[in-house]
Parts: sequence; C-alpha cells; structure tokens
Amino acid sequence: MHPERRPNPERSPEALEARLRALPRPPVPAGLEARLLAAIPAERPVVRRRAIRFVAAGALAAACLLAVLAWPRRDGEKSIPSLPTGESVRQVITRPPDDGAGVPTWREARRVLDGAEMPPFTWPIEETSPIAVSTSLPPDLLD
Amino acid sequence: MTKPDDQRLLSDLRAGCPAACAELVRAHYQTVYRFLVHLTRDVHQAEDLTQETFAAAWEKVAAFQGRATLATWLHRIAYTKFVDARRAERRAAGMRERRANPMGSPSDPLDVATADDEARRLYRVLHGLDAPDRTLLVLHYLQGLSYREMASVLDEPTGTVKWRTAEALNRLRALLGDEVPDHAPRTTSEPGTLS
Repeated sequence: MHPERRPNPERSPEALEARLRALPRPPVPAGLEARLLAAIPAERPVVRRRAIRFVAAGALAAACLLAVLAWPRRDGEKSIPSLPTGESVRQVITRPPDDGAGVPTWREARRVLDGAEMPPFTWPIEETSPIAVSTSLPPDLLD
Repeated sequence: MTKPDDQRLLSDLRAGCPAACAELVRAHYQTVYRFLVHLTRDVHQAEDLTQETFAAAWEKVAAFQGRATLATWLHRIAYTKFVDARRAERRAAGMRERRANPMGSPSDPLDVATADDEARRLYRVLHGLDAPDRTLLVLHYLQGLSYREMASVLDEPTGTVKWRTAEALNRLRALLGDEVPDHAPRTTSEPGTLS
C-alpha cells in the first residue's frame, strides 16, 4: 500500500516564491533583547581604542629614545657620563658644620700665610763692585 | 531602516554612543536572530550566534565604511559567525552531519510559530536543503535582501548569487514535488557543504 501523495500547489515558481515570502516568522526568545542590551560595552569603544593606541605609541617612542641614549658606544665609552656616586656627591656638597671647632686651625694657617713668623728677607747676592751712580763731567765736554 | 537613518546611527555608533548601540540592537536583533535560526535550525545556537554577531559589530563598527546598509552588514557578520561555528562543529564531530531530525520535533520553534500544515511542510523542506541553498533562499525570500545585498553578504558576484538562488528554488520545488507524507520515514541527508 503506497502512501497517499499530496497535491503540489507550489509547482509554479511564482507561487512558491509567494509562499516563501508569506511564511510565518519564527518567534524570538523573550530575554534575548535584554541579553543583547546588557552586552553592550559601557565604555566608548572607539575612544578607548584610540587612547590605547596613543598610549602605546608614546610608550614605544619613549622606549626607543631611552634605548638610543643608553646604547653603549663602540669604543667602550658611555654616551652618558656616569653620575658621581652618592658618597662623592656628599663630599662635594656637604659643608663642615659651623660649630667653631675648625676656627683655630684656620686662624693658624692664616697667620702663617700672613708671614707673621717668617724669617727676615736677606738679599742672597753679595755686592762686590759698587756701582757709580753719578760722575762729574769734564769741563770741555759742554763746549 | 532607511539609508539616512543608517548614516545617523552609524555616526553615533562611531562616536561610541551607548544609546546608539541600544538602538542598533532593537532595530536589528530580531532579523539577525531569525536569519540564524534558519541557518542553524537550533534556537540556542542561534541565540549564542546573535550575541556573537553584535559583539563583533561593536568591535568592527569603527572600520565599517558604510557602503552597505547596517542590516546587510549585520547579515554578513551573522553569516560569518554561522560559517565559523559550522566549521568548528565539523572539526569537533569529524565531519559528522547532525541532520537526523532537521525539523518537526515537538519543541521546534517553527512548529510553534505556525499551525498551518502547508507552511510547516514548506519549512521542513526548506530546512532540509543544504546550507548554501538554504542560505540563499532565506536571505532573499524570508529576510528580504536584494540580490545585490546578498552578494555583499556572501561575498560573491551579484549574477552568481542570482543564478544560484534560482537553482536553489528549483531544488526546493523538486523536493516539494517528492515530499512524502508526515508519517512516512525520511531518508534525506544533507549532501552539500558550505562554499
């Protein structure tokens, strides 16, 4: 026994197209809209992406600059002179405490420099032949 | 949604306005979901792919040139998501086709949607087509896209899309002519693959 075949009203292409267009639409789940709305990014995606690119480009440029400046030269010298160590910096910039303890030493050194106790100066060359400062002119020289 | 509306909405989207994102969702989510239901024949997968479609839209909106309408653009994203999901399924299932019961289960949303036997039968045969044919017919006759818009979605020449749609319609007609009653066993299997 063969199953009964149905009639084929959709054999015409135009009729089939019309039936396809008239098909009822499938229902949409009720909560789908809420799920999609909840998934919308809160931040502004375009602005955030631009900001990220901006920051990344700046960081890259800074890293390149540091790399160029800090790159050692071929002769072994450093392009950037090394900073003095902390100890030497302290030696340079630290002043002795102004408590008066160093004043006597300073005064002693000053007194020596002023020549207070220096020996009297003596001419080291002994004069053997006195030099005539003036001589009388002969009378006939002016004639 | 008209082209000027699209332009205004697109400019707001590019500016990152959240209200514009919500407007895009409300205007298009039903269309995108129905398209994906017809492609996947699975309501849960269609929901997931709809979410993925809009998530991809947020990421790509800055690069969208605006040459197509937003509806066409969303259809293209949704179709790409469907193809990707299908490829992943095939990799996971080792080319196994899960076409044991394409339509007609009591929980099928399209059975709920219509009590018309003829409409239900047409849906069953339509969903029995292979994915490329089904996609063409759904895009043109159910989603209402023009051949040019379909060409943009499928990334094919307009003439090719038009010819392939006519061929798909002929195959649907042939299947409807060979349609057997509901109580008879079905032996149809999906022969084609996604192009």
